[in-house]
Amino acid sequence: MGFRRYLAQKTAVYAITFLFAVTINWLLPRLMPGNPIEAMIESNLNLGPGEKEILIRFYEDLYGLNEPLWRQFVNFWVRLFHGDLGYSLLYKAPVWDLIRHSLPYDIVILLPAIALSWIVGNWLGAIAGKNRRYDRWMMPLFYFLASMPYFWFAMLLVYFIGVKLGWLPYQGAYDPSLVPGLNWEFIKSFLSHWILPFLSLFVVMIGSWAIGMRNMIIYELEADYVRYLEALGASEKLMTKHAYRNAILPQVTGLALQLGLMVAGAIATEIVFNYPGIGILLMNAALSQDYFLLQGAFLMVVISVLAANFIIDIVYAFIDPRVRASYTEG
Amino acid sequence: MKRYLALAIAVLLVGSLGGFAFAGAEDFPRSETIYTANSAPPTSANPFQGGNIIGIDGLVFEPLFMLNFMTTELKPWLAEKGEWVDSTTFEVKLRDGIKWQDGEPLTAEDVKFSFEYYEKLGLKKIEGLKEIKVVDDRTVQFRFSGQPNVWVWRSNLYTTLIIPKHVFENLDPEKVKTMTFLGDEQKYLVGSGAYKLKEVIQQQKSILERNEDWWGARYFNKPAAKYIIQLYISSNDQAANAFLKGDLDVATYYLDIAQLKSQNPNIVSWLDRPPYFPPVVPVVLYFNTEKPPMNMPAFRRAIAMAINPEQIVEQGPISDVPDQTPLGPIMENWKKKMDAPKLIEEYGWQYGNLEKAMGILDQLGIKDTDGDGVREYNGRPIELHFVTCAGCSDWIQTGEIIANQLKPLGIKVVIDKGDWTNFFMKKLNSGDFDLALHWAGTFKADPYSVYYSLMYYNNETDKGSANFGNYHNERANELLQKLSATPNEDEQVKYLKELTRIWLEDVPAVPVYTGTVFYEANTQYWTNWPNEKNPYGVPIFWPGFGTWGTALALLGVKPAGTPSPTTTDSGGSTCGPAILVGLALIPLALYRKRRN
Repeated sequence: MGFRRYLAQKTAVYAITFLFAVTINWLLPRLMPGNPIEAMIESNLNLGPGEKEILIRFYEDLYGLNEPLWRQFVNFWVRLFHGDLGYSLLYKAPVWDLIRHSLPYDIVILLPAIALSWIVGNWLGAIAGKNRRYDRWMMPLFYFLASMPYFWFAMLLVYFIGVKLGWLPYQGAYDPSLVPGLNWEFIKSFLSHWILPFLSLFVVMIGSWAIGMRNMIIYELEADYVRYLEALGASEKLMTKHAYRNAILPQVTGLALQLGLMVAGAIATEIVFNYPGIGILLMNAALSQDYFLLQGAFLMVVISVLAANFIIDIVYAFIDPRVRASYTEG
Repeated sequence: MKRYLALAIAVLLVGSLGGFAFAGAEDFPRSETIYTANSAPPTSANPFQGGNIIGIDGLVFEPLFMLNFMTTELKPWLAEKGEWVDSTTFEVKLRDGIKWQDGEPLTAEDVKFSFEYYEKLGLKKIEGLKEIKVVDDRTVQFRFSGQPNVWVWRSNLYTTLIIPKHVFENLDPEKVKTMTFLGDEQKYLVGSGAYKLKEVIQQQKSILERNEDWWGARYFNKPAAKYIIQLYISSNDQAANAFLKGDLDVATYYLDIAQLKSQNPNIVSWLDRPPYFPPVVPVVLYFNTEKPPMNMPAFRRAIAMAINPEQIVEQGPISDVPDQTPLGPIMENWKKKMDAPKLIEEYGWQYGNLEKAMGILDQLGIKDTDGDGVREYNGRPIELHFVTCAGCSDWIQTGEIIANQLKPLGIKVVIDKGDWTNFFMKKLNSGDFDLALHWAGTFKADPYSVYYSLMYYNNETDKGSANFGNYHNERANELLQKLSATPNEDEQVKYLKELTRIWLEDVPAVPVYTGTVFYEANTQYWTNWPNEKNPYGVPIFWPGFGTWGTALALLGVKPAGTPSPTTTDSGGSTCGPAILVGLALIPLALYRKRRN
């Protein structure tokens, strides 16, 4: 009974959050000053005499931007429930197509980077939390990594490993003369292009996970239950195991948020490595007020962050007995 | 547990690879492929609006005439010739033997259908066009009611793509507006041109493949490149790298040409000398001609005289020295016909002649009476607001140089910056400025359009699209009216001469430097890129410029004599990854060990 109520409650909260977030995402770009269509026409250099007015009317009609705002809002929701995210102003293609084709590139870099850095970071952090000597020289390194901007490290990789040593390609997702296919040559090319962008994120991310874990471990090792275990003469391994289980909880929340935000792309990485992805599309969409791409992409972000949180809420019930207790017994 | 986690990650990794469209592997021989690039990914091949694949216009679909923007001349393409047979009828005669890529013949019916289709889409509204009459298979007449504007009609000749009636007649124009013509829709891309769209790999590149059966091989050269691949390169730095490595043959990016050339002598641009990039049209300094003292032609003239473009070119943005007309180097032919140098000598001013400029102001009674170094007009010191956009560093730079040049003249210039749409363009359109720079009026394909957009003024809403200063001259309106109506070149030159004279005498705006477009090409694999001496094509490798002459350029390149093999050190590129993967695995291996 308790679990079902817990689930219903959570679902209701998430549904309301979703409605609000999507509405705000719809409204905010439209509140920015300026008219995207005029800006688009203005930047169009090769217009014949009298073509400007014709084109402005054409595009306002096409995007329905000449209708009152409330009408556009209604249209937006109607289309959304038909699975239509709209048609990008900037890229002249259905928003869903753009997202569908660019997002996999971000996921293929970000998912392993986040997941592996989380594992490695937690592991290194846990060691640092337990071992003073190791902590003394590892902590400065963690802080260095955590405070290092992604693009800066990425540029170092490009310069040293890509340009100076020439070990790895540093531009694009695979060799420009290839067409994607299930063959060894393509996979090899893809993987070799993947390593540097992946490393640039992976290495930098380790730092912050490790710092978080180390602090949690230190805190947990000082907790009463560990001292009690110690007094009982438990082995160090047992104490660490219990401390680790508690310390990992906030890290799981952090992981969920990171995974949720993954669909916004990795702008710096995409730019430095000329790696395709949704980050650059989003940046340009914001710059040229591409309402439709912005609201479509943010919709994805909202959905994935909410979904990640939802999953974490459920997972918490399994990994944290206290939470489980709160709804099954309380 | 941990092992499962690792396994799950591995599965996810491999799975995400599956997200890409898989096609058969293909090789594009380097010596048969032209690589170009764009800063946006190829997402749409729509030939009517907003497609972002270079060559859909011009290489896949073709116009009646191609424009060569660098010389502003029309080149008969699908049309053998086109002329005004009487004052309201334009007749086009098609070439013999034109075929669609599916083998069907291209006829006058297709031409009629295409022009009507553009109107149905709402993308064109050809004023006064009464009827399109198919005379025979190869002849079509455009009949106008009343006097047509010959220049507007001229622009329609190269901006209207001819599409196959048998393919498009079943396509609803409403649907076509938002079609991308990719995937399933690619079957509608049946053009008549030298290339077909082979494939678009989303987020990566588009591939054009030569049409071996092109009708044009009879009239023009058979194109040299088997493939034209447009890569997606979003940043200038990466484009520069690709040029240096020889991965990119031609593109339009803002790069430091001199530095590139020093690292790779194969890289060329339009000129052999600085600024290297092709100078196209002048950037003009607008006056708000409704605001005193700028409503006085003599005052504007004095400012024009105090400006020194040579200094701007030297210290300012990448540019070339302009003459005094708003017609750029691309209109050299027109300027020759109207003997522009003579007009300039007779009616123009002299740049950088401070003394004379001061004399004019003194004569106007605009003097510095209180000795603070700033002249007063009606008792108030002259302070002119130069508006520009905050990101336009070249205009800001130029504004600062102009401010310095006008200081000794006794005129104070204040630079106001803001964003493009809501500050800069708003101020220009509402007349809330004193001075401003812009190229919108000069980046045109014919001299009529330049003068019309800069000088036509009927009322606040009916005026030239770039007449920001609200310059108003009845005689100029009259001349533009006459110029718009005559297809006779001698008469055109006569009116253009008089318009130029008015421009030089009245100074509605001052050309301060000749702006360039960006262009870089690599001669390692392909040569005969268009340049100053051989301007057969247009070096603007942006989508949408195909029929403006980019297609001509891509059709005109020739293979370099001995293509040197690509030097890819495959040894390094497999060794490197292996080392790095190994490095990444060490911590994991250690982890395992510790647990056991």
